[in-house]
Amino acid sequence: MKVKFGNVVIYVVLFFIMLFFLFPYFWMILSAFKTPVQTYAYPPVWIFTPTLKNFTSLLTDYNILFYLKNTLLVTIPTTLLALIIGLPAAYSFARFRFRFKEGLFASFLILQLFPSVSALIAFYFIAHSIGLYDTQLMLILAYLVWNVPLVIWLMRGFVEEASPEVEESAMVDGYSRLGAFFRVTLPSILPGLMVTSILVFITAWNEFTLAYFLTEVNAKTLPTMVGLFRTQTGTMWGMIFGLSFLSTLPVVILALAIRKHFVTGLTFGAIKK
Amino acid sequence: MIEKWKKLKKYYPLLLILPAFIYVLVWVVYPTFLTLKFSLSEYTLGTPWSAAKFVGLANFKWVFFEDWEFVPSLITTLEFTVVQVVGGLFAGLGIALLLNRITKGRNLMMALFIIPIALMPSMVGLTWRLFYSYDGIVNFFIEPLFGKINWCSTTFALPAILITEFWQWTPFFVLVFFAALTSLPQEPYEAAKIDGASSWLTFKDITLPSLKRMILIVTILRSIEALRSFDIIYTLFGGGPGIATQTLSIHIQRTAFLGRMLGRGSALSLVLVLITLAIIIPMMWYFTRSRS
Repeated sequence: MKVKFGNVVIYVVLFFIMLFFLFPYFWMILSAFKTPVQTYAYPPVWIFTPTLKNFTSLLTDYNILFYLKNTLLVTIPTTLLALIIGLPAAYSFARFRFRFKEGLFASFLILQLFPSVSALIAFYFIAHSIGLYDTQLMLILAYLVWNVPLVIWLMRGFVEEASPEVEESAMVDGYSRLGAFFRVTLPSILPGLMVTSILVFITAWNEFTLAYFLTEVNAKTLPTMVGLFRTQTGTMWGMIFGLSFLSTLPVVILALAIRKHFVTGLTFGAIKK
Repeated sequence: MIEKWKKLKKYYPLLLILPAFIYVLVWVVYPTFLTLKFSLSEYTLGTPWSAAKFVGLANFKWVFFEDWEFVPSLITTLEFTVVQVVGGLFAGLGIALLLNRITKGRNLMMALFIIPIALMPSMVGLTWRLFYSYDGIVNFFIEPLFGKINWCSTTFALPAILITEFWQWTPFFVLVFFAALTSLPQEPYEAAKIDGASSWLTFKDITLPSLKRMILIVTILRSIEALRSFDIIYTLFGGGPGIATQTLSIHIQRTAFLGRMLGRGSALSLVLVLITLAIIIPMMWYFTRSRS
């Protein structure tokens, strides 16, 4: 009986912990369906007739689809290019032995830790001098700096998990290393590739600092819309909550889709699950 | 011909790394060189580079001796980092240990813990801005306990940001520690049980030492993120009121883009990079050394 009581206490404590970590998101979603007056009513409004006004206004008055299009035009090429550049390097680190291997590998992580704000002034200058300021291409080029190392770190682990013996036996059968890679190794690392792509996609989707200061009109992405709703006459909270709900939903779904590997991704492959 | 092919094959591993290496190197080395160049000049945003004036180390002199905001910003950055790492470690480990003691529903809870981490930080900052307003949801919950707090004041703005960041990132610690706990071998625990060791001793002598690696990893990763953290601080209070929540990242942005002083901003940027390296490299060194 005593054990049971202990369990009840744990569940009650966990319930309140979960409440703390989930309530703000729940409240954000709820507020997205409120009228502006309801969003800042005190005491807070819990029961109300949901309105879609915020979403329709985002669509028609603020052309959210334009920002969505820009976001996708940045995130999808970033993801693909990061894989194209990063995967061969990851494969090399996983399969071959050469001098300075671990040092080179570590240097990619050290390059990854550079604060993006520190790079901002130089990137701003480069963007202007090569005519890429306020373009999607500039954001892609900038995002790759942080995402290529991420791909290398994650994919090395996934390639190492795939057995080299099968690949070698395919090579004995007459396949080139490239042929063996595509026939044997690639299918077995596809789940890892999927997880890595989603993580890169999420990182690029959520990126704010560079997107905010390297764009002005044409290449503005969803996160930079935060600057639109604070006007002289006040803050348009209805829009903000509507935007928050819409722009976080795809990422939350993607993150939950790879939930088993999410920890692996966040720790640069240091933890395997 | 075959000789030549063999020679080329020797470089195969390096050839595969080359594109990634060159790309990242170019995009790190060239901007760093530019930043260094700017940091030695008086260079104003909106003017062409040809109008910039070489001033030697004057910008660095300014950062260390004349800029009264530098030291407060540095302190805020370090305070922020320490609170995030220490708070996250304790809360994350505590919650993971609790989760480890139950069986029903923990997979669901682990999935739900992913949500805060996945959210766009800029949106988190902006929405919490309303949550922290005087008539906001945060004050609604704490009013019965402490009365309403003016979160946008000099005293409470930094705690507010710390709570929001804690909210978004503690789940990260929970996920990591829970994954580590569930993969620990069971034999030592059974042996300890037979020996009649108390649960505190079991934790101190078995669990904690085997988690050492994980603790180091999350400390390094979270420190990197905390030292460069920008989005939430910027969208929540923008560094204010005054400089109450101004970290070095915010100070750089304000100096370079609000104050239009690109030279001084570049000097600050380099200082932030050096501080980050000075903190993270020893951690990594300790980490790789403890592995072997």
